[in-house]
Amino acid sequence: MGNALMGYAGNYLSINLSTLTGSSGSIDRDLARNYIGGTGIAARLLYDGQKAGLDPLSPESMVIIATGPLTLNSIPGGGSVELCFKSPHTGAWSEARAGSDFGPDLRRAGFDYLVIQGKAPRPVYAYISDGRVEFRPAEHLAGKLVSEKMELIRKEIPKGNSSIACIGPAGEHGVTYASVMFGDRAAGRTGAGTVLGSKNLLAIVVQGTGEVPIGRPEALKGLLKGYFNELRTNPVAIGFHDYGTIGDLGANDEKGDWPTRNWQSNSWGKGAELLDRFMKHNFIKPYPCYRGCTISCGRKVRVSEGQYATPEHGGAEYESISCFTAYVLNENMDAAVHATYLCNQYGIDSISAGASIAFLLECAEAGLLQDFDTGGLDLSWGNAEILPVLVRMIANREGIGALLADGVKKAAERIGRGSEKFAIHVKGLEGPAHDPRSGKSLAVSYGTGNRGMCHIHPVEAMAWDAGKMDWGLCRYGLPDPYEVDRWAESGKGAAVALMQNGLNLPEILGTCKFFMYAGVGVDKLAAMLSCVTDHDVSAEELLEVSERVINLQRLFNVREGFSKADDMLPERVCAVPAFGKYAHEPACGISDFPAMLQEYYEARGWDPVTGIPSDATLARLGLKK
Amino acid sequence: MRVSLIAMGLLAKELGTPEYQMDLPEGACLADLYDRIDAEMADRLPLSLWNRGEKRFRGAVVLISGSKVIRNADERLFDGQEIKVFKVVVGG
Repeated sequence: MGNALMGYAGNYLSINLSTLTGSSGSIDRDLARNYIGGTGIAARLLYDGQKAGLDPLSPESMVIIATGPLTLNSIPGGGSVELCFKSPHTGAWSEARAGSDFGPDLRRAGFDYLVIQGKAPRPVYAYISDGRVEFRPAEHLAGKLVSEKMELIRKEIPKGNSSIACIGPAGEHGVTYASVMFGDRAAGRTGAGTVLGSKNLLAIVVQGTGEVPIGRPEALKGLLKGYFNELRTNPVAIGFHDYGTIGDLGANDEKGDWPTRNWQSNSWGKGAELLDRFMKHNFIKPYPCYRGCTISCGRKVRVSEGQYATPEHGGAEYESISCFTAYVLNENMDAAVHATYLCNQYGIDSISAGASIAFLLECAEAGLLQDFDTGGLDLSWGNAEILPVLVRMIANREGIGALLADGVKKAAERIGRGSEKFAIHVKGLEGPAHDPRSGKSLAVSYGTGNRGMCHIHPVEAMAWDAGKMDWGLCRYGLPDPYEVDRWAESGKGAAVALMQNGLNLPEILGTCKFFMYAGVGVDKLAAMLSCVTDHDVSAEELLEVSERVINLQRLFNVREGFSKADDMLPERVCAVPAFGKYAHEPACGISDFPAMLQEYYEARGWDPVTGIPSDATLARLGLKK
Repeated sequence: MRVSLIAMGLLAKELGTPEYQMDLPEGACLADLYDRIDAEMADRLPLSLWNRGEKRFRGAVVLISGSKVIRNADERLFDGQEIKVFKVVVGG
C-alpha cells in the first residue's frame, strides 16, 4: 500500500451514457489535498469540466456523485452521498445530499466518485460492482414509483449489501425539482432526479467487497470509541433519536421559526398540537438511514386508516411536514404524512412541492388564475384533500400541476399580474421551513447559500442566534450565541461566513451534518481525517478548504450569470408578520438586509459592489477566476 | 426524598431560575415528578414544551441523570438525584 492514497478508494468512474461505457482513473493527489472530497472535489470538476451556460438537461451536462474520505460506516455520520450538478431548477450550482449506505458502498465497489455524462439511447440503470460498471435495460422500470423500481431491481442483483439510487416518475417527466431517492431518503432539492431523467438513467446500483485503506487504523479506533461514548449522552443526539427532526415543530412555531401561509407569518400556534397528533397516531419508531448510525433521526411512520391511509415508510421529516401543514394551513396530519409519502414515491422535492402549492393557493385567493385550468379543485387554504391530488398532478405534469412543476419563480413569470410577490425563493429555489424572523443570521445564509434559499447547505444559521447552538465554532471566532440578540442585524454577516465555513465541512468530508450538532465538531473531524488519510490536518486548515470550496462555488454561479442582486431576499421574508404571535413585534422584521450582506461580503473578502470574490481572496485560497 | 431539576442551556435562560428542588414521596417515579412540575411550574413552561393535558414534556426535551437518559414514566427516581433538563435544537 506504499503508494495508496490513504482514506480513498483511490479511483473514480467516468460514465458516458451516450456510448454506454465507463472508464476509471486514479484520484489526483493535489485535488484530494486541496478539495478533499464530496462537494469540494465536485466543485473543482464541474468548474473545470463544464462550460458556462450549458443547458443542465443537455447530454453534455455532468452529474458528480461524490463521497469523502470520512464516508465510512464506522465514522459518525459516515453514511452520506452528495450529488453535484448545475441545477435545472435554478441554473445555479447545486448539491443535494442523502443519508444512505450508497456512499460507503460506492467506495467498497472501488470508486470515490462518479462522473456521469451523455444520454442513454433508451432507459437504463447502471450496476457498479467491484471496479466494473454494467448498463442494464430499464424499460420495465419506466413510469414505476420509487419503491416499485427498487423492488424490481433488488430481484435482478446478487444478494448481499448493496445500495440503490433511483428516480421516480417526476424525474422521467422533467419536473425541475425531481429528487434522487436512496431508499426512503431523498437527495431532494434542486433537481438531481431531473438531470438523471434527462439522461435516461433511471437508477444506479452499487455493490462491492473492497476496503478503503485507513492510514492509522488503531488511532482511529481509539478516537471513535471516545466519540461514540460521548454521543451516548449528548442531549442533541438523544433529541434526534427520540423526536427526529419533526420534534422541533412546536418549539419552532413558538419562537417564530415556522413559515406559515406562504410566509405571511412566522408562527401559527398549532405546531405543538400537530406534533402531539403525529406522535400518537403516525409515529412508529426511529430508524437509521445507514448501517452504523447511532442517532437514528429517521421516523418510521404510517397512516393506519381513512382516506389518507399510508403504509409504513421512512418519512415525516420536519421540512416536509411543515411544507404540507403550516405553509398551506393544513391541520390534518394524516394528509401531510400521505402527501409527503407521495413526494418520495414520485420522486419530487417535498419542500419545493409544498411551497409551490402554497404559492398556488395564494394566487387562487388573489384571483390570478383566470387563464389557467385548475381542474375544478377547491384551492382554499387548509383544504387537505387537494394536497395528494396536487402532488400527483405535479409529478405527472398534469393540468395545473404542469404550472407548478417548474417551481414558483417560473410559475410567477407565466401567471404575471404581480404574482411574483407570492413567489418566495432565492436564486429560484423555494424557501424551506425555517424563518429568519426567528434569528436574523438565517437571512444572510438564505441570501448567500450557493444553491439558493436552503436551510441546510451550508447552515441553518438561526440555530445559532435563536437556538443558541455553536457547533464548537466559538474557539474559531464565532461569538457566543448566548451573548447575541437573535433579532440584532449587526455582526450577523461576519458570523454567517464563519458558520458556513464550518457547517460546509460535512458536505466535503462525506458525513452527516447532524453529528456536528451532536458534538462531532471541526476539531474531531480534523482528528478523524488525519487518522484516515495519514496526513495531519488542523481544524484551521479544514476551515480554509471549506472557504476555498464556497468561493469556487460562488465563482461557478458568477460565471452562470448570477450577481449580487440574486442574494436579495423576497420582500415578504423581511417584513413584520401579517398575523400570529410576532405580528406586533416590529423588531423581528429585517430592516437593513443590504447592510447585513455588505458585512458578509467584507468578511468573505468579496467586492462589496459586485459581490464577486476579490483577486486577493482568490489568490489567498489558491483559486483563479 | 428530594430531587433536583436543573434546567440547562436555553431552557435555563427562558425559565430564569436554573435549579428547582422537588420533594417527592419515597419510591416516586418520573410520572410523579411530572405531576409536580405540572402543579408548580406549568405556567412558566411554554406550551410548545409542556403538554398540560397529559402532564409531560413534548417535543425535543431531554432528561438526563448522570449518564442515563430518563424516558419512561414509570422510571423510579431516588433521593438526591440531579436531573438535567435540556431543550435541544435538533435541526433539519
